[in-house]
Amino acid sequence: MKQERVFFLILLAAVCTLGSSQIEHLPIQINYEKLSNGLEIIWLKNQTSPLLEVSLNVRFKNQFDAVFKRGAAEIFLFLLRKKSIHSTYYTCSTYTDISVLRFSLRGLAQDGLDILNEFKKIIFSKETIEASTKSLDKIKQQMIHEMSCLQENNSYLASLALQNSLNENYRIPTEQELKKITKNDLLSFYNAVFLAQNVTLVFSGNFTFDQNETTKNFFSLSEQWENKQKKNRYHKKNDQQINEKNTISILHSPFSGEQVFLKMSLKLPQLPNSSYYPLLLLNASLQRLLQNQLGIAYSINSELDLSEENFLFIISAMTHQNNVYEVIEKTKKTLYELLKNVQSQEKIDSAKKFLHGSFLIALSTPGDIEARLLAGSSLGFDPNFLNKWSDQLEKITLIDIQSIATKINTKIFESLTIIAVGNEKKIQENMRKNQSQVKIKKLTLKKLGLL
Amino acid sequence: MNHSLKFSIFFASIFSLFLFYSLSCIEKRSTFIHSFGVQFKVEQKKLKNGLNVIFIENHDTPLISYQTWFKVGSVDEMLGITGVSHLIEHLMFKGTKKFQSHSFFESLEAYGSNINSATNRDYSVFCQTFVSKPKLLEKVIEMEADRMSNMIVQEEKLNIQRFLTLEERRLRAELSPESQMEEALWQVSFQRHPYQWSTLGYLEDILSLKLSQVETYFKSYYHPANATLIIAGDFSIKKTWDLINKYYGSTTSNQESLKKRLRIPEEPKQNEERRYTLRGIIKSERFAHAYHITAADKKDSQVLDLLASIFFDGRSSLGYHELVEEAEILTELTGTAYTPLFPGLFIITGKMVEGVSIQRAEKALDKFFSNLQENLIDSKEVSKAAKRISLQFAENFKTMNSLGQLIGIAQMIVGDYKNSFNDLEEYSKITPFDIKRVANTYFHPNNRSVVELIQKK
Repeated sequence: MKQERVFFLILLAAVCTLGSSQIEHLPIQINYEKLSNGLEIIWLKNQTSPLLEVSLNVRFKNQFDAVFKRGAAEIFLFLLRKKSIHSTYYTCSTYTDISVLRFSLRGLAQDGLDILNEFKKIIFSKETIEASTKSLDKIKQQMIHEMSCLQENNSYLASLALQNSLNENYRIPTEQELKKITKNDLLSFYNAVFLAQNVTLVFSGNFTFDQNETTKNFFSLSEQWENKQKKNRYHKKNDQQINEKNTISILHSPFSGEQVFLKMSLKLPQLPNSSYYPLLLLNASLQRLLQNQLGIAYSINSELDLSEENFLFIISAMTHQNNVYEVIEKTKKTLYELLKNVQSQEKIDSAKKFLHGSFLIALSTPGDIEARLLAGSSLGFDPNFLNKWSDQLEKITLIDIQSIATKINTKIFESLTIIAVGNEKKIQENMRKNQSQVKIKKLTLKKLGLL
Repeated sequence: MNHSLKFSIFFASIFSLFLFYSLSCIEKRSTFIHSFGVQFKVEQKKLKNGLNVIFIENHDTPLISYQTWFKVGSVDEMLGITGVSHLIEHLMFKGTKKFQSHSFFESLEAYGSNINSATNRDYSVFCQTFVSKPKLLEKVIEMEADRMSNMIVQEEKLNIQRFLTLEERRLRAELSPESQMEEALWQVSFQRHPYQWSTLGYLEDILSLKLSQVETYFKSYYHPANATLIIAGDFSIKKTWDLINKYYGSTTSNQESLKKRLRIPEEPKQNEERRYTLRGIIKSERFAHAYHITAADKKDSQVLDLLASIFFDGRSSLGYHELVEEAEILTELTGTAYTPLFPGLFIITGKMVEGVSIQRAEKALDKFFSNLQENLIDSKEVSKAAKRISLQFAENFKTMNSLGQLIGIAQMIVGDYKNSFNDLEEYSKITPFDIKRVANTYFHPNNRSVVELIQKK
């Protein structure tokens, strides 16, 4: 008993940040904890949900880390997925990209304790790696098969090509790189990346287990994630890519029929984090303006993508190969109008009305909230920033918007990153026919790691 | 005011309320959905004109999902007018006398709402999710009621939508190898029943559809007695019911159309295997197998769902494990018991590893089913699959929109949403003997259609 008390006091000291609040207009209670070893835990309690999801989110720098080999992250995640496959209680999902690795289990709230125990077994996973020797070759082969199928997924290719253009030639690991990964490479990856300060655990839905007990438990388990190696691990960014002006990068896909997947990205200048809400409003206006193109595009939408490195407007469209030029030019014009001509009090009010509704819909589930919270946390936002989103939105004035808009020089349109995935010959024909001044650059699957 | 007058007014009010209620509502049922420790109050009412309304009042989130379900889909079409249900789905957004085509979207989009619609083989649905503002809800009710009875069908509008649906057909069905396979599979599997064509219809039918045919079809199926409204979320049932009365109350129904589905021809029993080969620009070969099975309301449909889950649902399924992970002949494998309103299909699709022929998958699957017909499956696999189905079911409780969709589909396919909640208990009663029995009933080559997609030369 005495021992338990002492432990509890230590734990209290270990919790250095603690926040608890209800998200405005939503039945979800947020609790945020940052433990003394840097481990973050977010609780998103929703008592009306019959589901529970637990997720592990690890921040890391895929591809630029000198400590582990390229491909280790992807194989490691595959291994976690494989370990979780044969359970009765839950479904598993995994994701990795340039800066995050996510693993989650999802099941019925009534099975909460079983799910929690499985989650612990899987994520503290050195044993999993040790046991993987026999199955590693098989896993690699299966991954190679799966990755070859990605060549037919044009929407994925367009996103990957955009990542490649924006992030210093980011690509997925090649078949050769995957084949070379050994068990020791996976251990190096685990040791290098699984550090408490890189990890956020999120519990969302209706959990019945005790929060304090669970925090204690994870705090003690995460001792093995303490930082043991301190050296500069990252590659020099010597393959820095400077975006060529007025260029469209085309990736030929024989599987796209007559459709073209377009991605256009506008990199904004360095702006303070306080520009989040004005930018959201600008994006809401952009989204509405883009809808006017629906006649020439089958679908078109914009998103505001904020990360440590970049603030971006990303416009995704699907169109016919004969309309590529028109969609690009109209989008540029829309962006120009958005930043130069259109801001009036009436338009701001209208954008607020639109954003209020769409934000509520976009935050309908704990999963949606988790994604927003993690994105906000990567920008250093207060974990409670979502709690007052409605008030924050209302406070934005026309002057705030104008001040942001004037910081965005329209010259940056010349550096708009444009990716098109489709029939290369037909896209070029369309650009020529319209006497486009835009330079054409060919992208290859090899550059994306797919050959 | 003296007491007697007060009472008179009181009773007169009660009487008029009662009269109004009895005039407008012919049926009222309240119930609770209890599932996985979560409870929702559901109230079902019916207008005199036959409009069925299901309310799920829940104030957790200030959002409303408004869904209009019609019992009409491509199963109600016939050769010559295939694709008409989908064409009407497009026309429904093109305005009425009262509301111009853009006004429907504008009022809702101004509030960042989600607007969706879909046409299925058995039903059509129009959905909106929006912030709970009483005026906005009233506007949606008014617009939905108006387009149910006053949709304008004009030659010019018809031709524009004809062109757009043809383009959609070309992109979705003709240029995508997967869609071509799916279309071919249903066409080969059904020779008499209207499930043979897709909701996109046949090109020649869409081209030749006449205005009068579209009008007649619209009047036959898009009316209150053939519709169910599902309103879920943050609203007051009482106030909303009054608004529904106000805007839908005077709309008349076409009772004649309600019997039409009884005249849909049955599909004769299939007695020999049917095969069809497609060629396309693909990286690896693909196949689709379809076995005739039962309809949604028959007991076997749950056993078939469970069988699909055990063998084909995700990476933990036995089929995936054996053919994708162990044999390494496939990169993708799916299997679904599609049990709609009329007897449906058990569809298995697979994508081969590059360079591996589809015959290897077919042999492996045949072996698989013959094992299943002879031996009993481990009961642990059965209970694991029942659990997985429960989890998939619970996913529908995430939002009011998805809960409404679950209820809507159940209402359209099995006639009463409560059945799908009862079905959930039935899954846990299924035994390995049931699996063996359905394997022997349905999975024979003579009951199968095969479509293969191979590389274009």
